[in-house]
Amino acid sequence: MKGSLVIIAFFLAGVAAAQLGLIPEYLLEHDMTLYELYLLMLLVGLSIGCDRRLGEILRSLRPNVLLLPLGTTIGTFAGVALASLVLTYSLSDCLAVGAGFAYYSLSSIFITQYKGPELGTVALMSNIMREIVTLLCVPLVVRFVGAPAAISCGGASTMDTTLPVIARYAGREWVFIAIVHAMVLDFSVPFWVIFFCTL
Amino acid sequence: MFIALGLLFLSMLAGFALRRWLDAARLSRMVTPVVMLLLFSLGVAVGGNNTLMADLPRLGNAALILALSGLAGSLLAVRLLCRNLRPAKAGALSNTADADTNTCATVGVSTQNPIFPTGPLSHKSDPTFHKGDPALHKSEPTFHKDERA
Repeated sequence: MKGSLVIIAFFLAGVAAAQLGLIPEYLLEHDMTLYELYLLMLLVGLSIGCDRRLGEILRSLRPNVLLLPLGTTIGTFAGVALASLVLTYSLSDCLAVGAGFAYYSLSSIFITQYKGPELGTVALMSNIMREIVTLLCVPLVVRFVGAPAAISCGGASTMDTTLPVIARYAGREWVFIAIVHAMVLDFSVPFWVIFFCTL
Repeated sequence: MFIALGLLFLSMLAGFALRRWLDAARLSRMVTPVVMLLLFSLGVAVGGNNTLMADLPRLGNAALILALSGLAGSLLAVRLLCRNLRPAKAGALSNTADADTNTCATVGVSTQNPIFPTGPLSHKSDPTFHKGDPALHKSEPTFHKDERA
């Protein structure tokens, strides 16, 4: 929750700075986000590559655990595809936003880069909303639908921001599944987002 | 277009090759300020664009519809697909009987000791993760057996 608020604060600070004319013209005309994105990709890749957890978890995987991220992916895509019928955005735009799976930072940056700041802003807000709704609704979903459904709501955030609330309400025994779920989705975000942006 | 993705792949390979010398914790701490900078830049891109600013309420509306429809869809799909998904028994969920607390990937959460950061953008690895509660290592790892059952 705190993380989302910090993100919103930085985003709003950028909006305010630009509105107040504090940003030099040069920076407004020359987009810096592309190079920042490359730097981010480099850091994220290095940290995934040298992470010992990844190998351990890959070795202990059983196929039925992978059903959960699969379900989240299929369900999210089906849901946003339906939503695209009532929105002014195209199907591929909606799918690109949905493919963020609550991983707002990376997905919104990618989408800004490939589809422009309008859809990027929608992606940022949409994925933050998904995380916040998950944080609020996990207790209810665990009770009325079940623990796997609650984990699937969190998307890629179930190994950090929403993990404590899942551990608390679904039970500690679901933590491993929640982490595998988030790792698989996390990993798939750049691929799906770029795929839908190029359609 | 695909430079970013290629860079991600290459740096993952590099990270794997250099894993002895790299500190995953320090790397993921470095991710956070870059993301802050990026979101600030995204804010600048939005704030510097007056048509976009006028459109914000409409964008927020679309974002909410997309978020809720994605949530509803994944709830339904998981409800249908994952009926038989059961976790291992509570306690140790490790697949390794390795007693070394630094390398063992025991996945344990203690409610008294929230080892999972809720801090900003810790989407990647976290160092404290490896250091599971030592008590958890003593219990029998049952994940495999239960998963087969």
